[in-house]
Amino acid sequence: MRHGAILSAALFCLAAAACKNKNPIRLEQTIEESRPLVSRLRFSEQSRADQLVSGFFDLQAGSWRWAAPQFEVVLASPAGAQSQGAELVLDFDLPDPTINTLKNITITAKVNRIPLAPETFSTTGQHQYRRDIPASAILSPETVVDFTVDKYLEPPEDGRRLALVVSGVALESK
Amino acid sequence: MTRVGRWLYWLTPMVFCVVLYWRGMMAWFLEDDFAWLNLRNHVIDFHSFLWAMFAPLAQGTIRPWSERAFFMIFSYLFGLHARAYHEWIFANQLVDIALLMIVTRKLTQSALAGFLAPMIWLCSIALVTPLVWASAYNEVQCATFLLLGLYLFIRYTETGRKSFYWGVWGVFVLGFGSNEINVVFPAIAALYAILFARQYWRGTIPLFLVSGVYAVVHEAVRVRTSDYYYDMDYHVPSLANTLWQYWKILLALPGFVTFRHLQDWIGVAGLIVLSAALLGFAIWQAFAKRFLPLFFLGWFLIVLLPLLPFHNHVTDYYLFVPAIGVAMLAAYGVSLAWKRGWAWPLAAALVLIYAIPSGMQVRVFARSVFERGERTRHLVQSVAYAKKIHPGKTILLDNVDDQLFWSGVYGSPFQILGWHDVFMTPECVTMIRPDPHFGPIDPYVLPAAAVARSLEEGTAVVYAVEDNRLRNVTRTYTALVEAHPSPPLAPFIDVGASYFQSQVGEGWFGIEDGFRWSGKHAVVYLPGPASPGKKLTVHGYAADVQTKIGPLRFELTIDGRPQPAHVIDQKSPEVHFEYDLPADLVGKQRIEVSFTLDRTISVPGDERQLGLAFGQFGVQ
Repeated sequence: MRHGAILSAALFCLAAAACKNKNPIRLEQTIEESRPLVSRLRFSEQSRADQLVSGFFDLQAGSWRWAAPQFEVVLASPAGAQSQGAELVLDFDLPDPTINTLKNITITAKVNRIPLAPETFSTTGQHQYRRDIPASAILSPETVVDFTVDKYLEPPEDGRRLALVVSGVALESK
Repeated sequence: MTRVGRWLYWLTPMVFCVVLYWRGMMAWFLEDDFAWLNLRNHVIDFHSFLWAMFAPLAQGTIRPWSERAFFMIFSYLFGLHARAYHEWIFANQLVDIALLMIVTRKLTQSALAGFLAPMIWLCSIALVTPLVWASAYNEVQCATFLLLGLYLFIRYTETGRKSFYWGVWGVFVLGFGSNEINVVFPAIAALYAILFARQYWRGTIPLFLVSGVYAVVHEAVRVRTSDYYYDMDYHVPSLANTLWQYWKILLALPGFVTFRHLQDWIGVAGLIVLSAALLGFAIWQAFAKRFLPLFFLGWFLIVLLPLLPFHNHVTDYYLFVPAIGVAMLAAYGVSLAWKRGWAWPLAAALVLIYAIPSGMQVRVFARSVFERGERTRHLVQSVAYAKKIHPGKTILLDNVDDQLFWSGVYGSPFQILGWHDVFMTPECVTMIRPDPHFGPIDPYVLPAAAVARSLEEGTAVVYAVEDNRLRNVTRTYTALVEAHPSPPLAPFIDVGASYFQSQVGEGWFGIEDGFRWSGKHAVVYLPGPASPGKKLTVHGYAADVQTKIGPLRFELTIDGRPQPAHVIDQKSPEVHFEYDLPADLVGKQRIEVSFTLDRTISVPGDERQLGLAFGQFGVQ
């Protein structure tokens, strides 16, 4: 009986030791940066979410995102931009509820903290905010663009502040 | 009962447990789990093993079986694979269910009560945390000791056999290693003896003595901290209020009504009906000189009593063991009603009024704890992958929100795997609600200046938390950092980390495994304090050979202003000094902190003249 107990205990210890897991933790693959930055972001194209720094909500219908009153992207500076400058293009949509409620909205942008001229929009439908960027604002192969919208919707029990329906943003060569 | 019937009778509550709490089996670690999982890393010799097993930790608790040994053995065998831990917890819970059935059958002489007691207990929201969160396993184990101890004591009073009495002693003494609540066992045994086996009550006196000694020793050795959540208030109104809160949690309806946004009166009505039924039943039986319901209520109150002073820490899972008493009481009530025939529909309705909303809350609560664990699992496992593909690099986590921080970062899970260079980005600070009772979150955040430096050097990679995955955003984040003006100096620096190099001035040698030697005189740069009343903290070590030849004089200046000198000797080789920062330095972008020692040492084969090993400097 006693020997049986000792043998059982020894077997238990052996079994436990045999169970010892060689890898202390399971690994879970991360999403790595594999491609260089692009200067044109189309939300309908393959995901480039790593270039959307802040202020964007989930992708809708595979082609657009609601943007908050402040949103930020990083784009590759197009070829020659550091000497000739570039053009900033924001493609967005103003749905009926936005204009019905807010009447109009004004967009301003900063490229590498240099402000660009604002523009006010007061009609529903697709729009483009387009501005020239001086060469002096393009400092490196990557350009940070901040957008600010002066008004926004706050749907009840949603918690989000919705300013624009954005479908793309780009830096174009001059 | 047929053989199949017997199997069904005993297994149904166990199957019900697994069905109701299956998420617990799949749950991962969170919060305090990481501190316990890291405990094994502190064990380097027998002395440190004894410390890890028996030193008062976590509010002064000493739970060698249910916390120390449990986590150390399982982390040795299974690392961070949580399933094994939870399978063990569930196995122990199935033992608890069996013991509860045996004890209830024995006390009530009713198979129906024996069946219903665990079913009612399992519907309690008090069971969620211990069955889903490994750190609360001590509750499950404590229930085993208390139920087994009571069973053995009942057998002792039934048979008079001393072997049962010694069995009680064995279980009772071992139970202290599970949870300090075990201290109440003599009161449970004494209550049983007084009500049902009066000649045996004297046998509980030695048990009381042991509990008394344990309480005194525990009180003497426990570490006293001014912890808000564990503040104790012994005033009767406070104790009564805490008891009332626990009673409301236990009966579930008030919480259910709040959770479902129902009208308050439903919760109040349910609370009144259930309270009246339970208390009325106990009083009615007591008038008829049937004291079993009083004993069940006594179990609830006796086990809960030591927890009532913790008025700032009313926690659902503290009801895990007390709820057993109320479950036995309700089960006994239903069994009596069943015997009377006419009353059983009423009793069954009362049980359903409790069990349905409580069971629904159990499901929701278990899911929420499980999901927090899942978020933590994805984070830690993804960091493990990032560490594997970016060896030697600092990992910066961006977009860590409040829930993820408290569940999965605050407990420092990365240190378990030896990674001391996983930080959050400064942007995360705005997403986290600090809790003044849990200390600052600064140690988890790499200051902006250090972030900029490490990105410039290419020694860090940045990952943004996106749903349950990590996305490498180093390039984007670097572009952002470069586009913004140079960040201010970090208010807290570790001179042993390369990313603080820009704040390390003259007089230092190179980095060595997380620290840096100073020379006789050395300089660091810090920002001025953000507001008056802040202090400069300095933390480092003196080598044995340094203090062996006599005390060492340490003189420090803050922006050229001499401060009181300190003496470092063999008694206190750890340098931990604080200095008041002059008010006129508030808001200054850069201040110079320099210190001078009265001598240095040199070691054979090393030409350097060494001062002290540092260490951190901070404005706090």
